[in-house]
Amino acid sequence: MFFEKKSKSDTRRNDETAAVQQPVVESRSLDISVNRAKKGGQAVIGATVKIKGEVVSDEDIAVEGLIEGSIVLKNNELLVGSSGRVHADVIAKSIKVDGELHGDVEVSDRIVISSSGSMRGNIQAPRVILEDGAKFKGSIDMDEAAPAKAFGVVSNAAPEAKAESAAE
Amino acid sequence: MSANALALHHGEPPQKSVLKSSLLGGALPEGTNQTRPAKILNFGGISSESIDALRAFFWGRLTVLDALDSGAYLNDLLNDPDSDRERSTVLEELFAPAIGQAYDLVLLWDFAGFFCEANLPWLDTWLDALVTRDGYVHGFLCHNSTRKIERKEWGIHSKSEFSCKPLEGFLAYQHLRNQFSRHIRSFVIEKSVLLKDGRLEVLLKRK
Repeated sequence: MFFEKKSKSDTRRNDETAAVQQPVVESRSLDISVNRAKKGGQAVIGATVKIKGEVVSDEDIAVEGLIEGSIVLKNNELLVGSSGRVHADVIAKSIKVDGELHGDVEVSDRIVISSSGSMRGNIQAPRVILEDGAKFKGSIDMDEAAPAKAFGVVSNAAPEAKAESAAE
Repeated sequence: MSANALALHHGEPPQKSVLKSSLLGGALPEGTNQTRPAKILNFGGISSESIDALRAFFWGRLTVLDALDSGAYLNDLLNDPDSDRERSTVLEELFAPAIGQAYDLVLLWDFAGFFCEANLPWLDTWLDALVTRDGYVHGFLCHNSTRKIERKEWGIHSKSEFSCKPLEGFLAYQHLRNQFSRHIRSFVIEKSVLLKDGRLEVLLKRK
């Protein structure tokens, strides 16, 4: 079981590495170079790619290059790879930072800063996970149940969101 | 030699331990008693464990400076009269997330232990700017200057407990209570508790 899981993970990593090493230039609405791994899957911003502006996507994005500006991935994940640099405000479902992220982030599920990752900025997220060695400087808002606390009202939304993230 | 000191000696990762705090609980803003979101400034780094522990009772904003590794360098800059430009760049970088903000609680941990006595008034000026009128500063001093104090990485384990992990080396400067009070003039030590490792846990309030 363990080996199966590991080999799947390795395969995925190899795919991503290949995608990074051989970027395919595709002109889309933005003048950016992306390699789309598969439809509805993950777009990889290659190590030599620099983007300035607003990036909006309905698929996961893995950044090995540089993005400056803003990123909106409402229902998807942003992965900042080990060589990736994101200097942008980000709205996403979840974020994993193996490289560098400077900016304010709003996440509906979780943000993970790995041992090689560094982040500066403000975080709004139900779950913040910092691995040993992760660098973080900035603010974390802890106001999930703010309306209930402020007005003494029991909110239905917050517990549901919590239950979902706990189940994962 | 303690188990953790032995582990450090052999290059193994030291174990986290949990210490009870008599003062932290009184200073931490608690959601059920809050009428507005509160603000906490942490001079140290932060772990997932501390974030989860705070979420259990705290409503507001936690700002993390992760400044402890820069303490020694900053002390050197403050002692160098020719380092004005570099000093202001370092300070701007160090305090960027907190500039213009006032906090209900400042968690200083061992930050004062990086500064020589002559630079404590500088720390007082910053604390004066960063703490609200009714706010607290929590940190560690030294009870006895002859006993060397090991460096530690601190975190919040619960409303009344710290987590701590030993680091290599000792605190550069060990300030006693009276010595510290002489220079931190905007604040008074409201409560203090002696810890087993020779630290003096202190809670400061504005004069």
